[in-house]
Amino acid sequence: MRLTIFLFFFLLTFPFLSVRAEVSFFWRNLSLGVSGDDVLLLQKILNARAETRVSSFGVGSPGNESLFFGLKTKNAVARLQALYPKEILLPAGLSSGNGFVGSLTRAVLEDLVASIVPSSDTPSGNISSNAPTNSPSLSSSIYNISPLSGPDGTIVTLSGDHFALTNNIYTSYGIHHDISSSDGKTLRFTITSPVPEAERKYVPPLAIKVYIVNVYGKSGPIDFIITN
Amino acid sequence: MIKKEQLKIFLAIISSIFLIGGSLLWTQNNTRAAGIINFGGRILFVNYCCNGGAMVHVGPPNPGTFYFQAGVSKLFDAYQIYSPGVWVLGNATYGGVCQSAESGCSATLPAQGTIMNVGTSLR
Repeated sequence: MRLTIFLFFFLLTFPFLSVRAEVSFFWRNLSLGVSGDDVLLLQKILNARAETRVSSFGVGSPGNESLFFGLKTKNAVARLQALYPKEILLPAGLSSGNGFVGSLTRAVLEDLVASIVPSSDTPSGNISSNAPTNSPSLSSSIYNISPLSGPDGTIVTLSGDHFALTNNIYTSYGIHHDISSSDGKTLRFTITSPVPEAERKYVPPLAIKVYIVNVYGKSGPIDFIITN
Repeated sequence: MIKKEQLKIFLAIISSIFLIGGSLLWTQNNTRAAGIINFGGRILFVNYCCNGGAMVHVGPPNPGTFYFQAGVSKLFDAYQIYSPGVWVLGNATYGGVCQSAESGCSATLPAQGTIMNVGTSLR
């Protein structure tokens, strides 16, 4: 009985007691059919080398990485595994890559992350080491948008943390693809009003939400007002 | 012969079904009575309004034309209410009009409802 009570409270408090010392980009196994930001990161790593490129054109090609682990990703993973026989194939008892991202492949991928993200973005072992106060995780975040409002064509600067080399900026009216951040802390893009030009003089200022999605995940939104 | 224990289990299952089913019907009737429309589908296109916000035309499976009124309609993740092609799910109260900017504010477009809450897909 005592043991049962102890186990109950231990399991209840375990998630709070456990502290992750290191950041893991690949926290789960990946295989055909799964999707997520970790798949996007995987494809970016694969596309960093010509021999492991997911696709030469279309979805999965460099700059067009997707969230979905399809057949092309599986084949590219298999080619990557073949490049690491000592680290992946031999310990797993494989003669060739199988396209399944298990613990051995994930360990290799963790080492390869640094090859695709700016140096200021590379985690240094502690989750909060580079993060500002009130930001306990490594996810991308936007702290400021400048200016706060403006008409169609306004160049907007986003300031925040964990911006990657390529980021997709989502707005309430659509997506700005592959916007790059050289320093990992600022992003610039041009506002495009969704309101047809002929109608703009009739429409009051339009409030939109802006946020980014990159290899670190999705940031929270920030407001912008499109004026006429 | 049915044992007493089996009879108890059977009665428990039957009463659970009635309780759950009844509560669902009750909720549905209440929703209708309160004049709330639930909608969900892809955004087909958007008309901007002179009185602010936009008319959102939602396709199947639960289609309709709904007025997204800035400051009134609550927008949830992924916030893409002006993006044709994304999926939306939300509810609205009956009524609402949009003075169409396309017509130079001369035409009034009636909405099936004014959006109360709406969430969108990422793409």
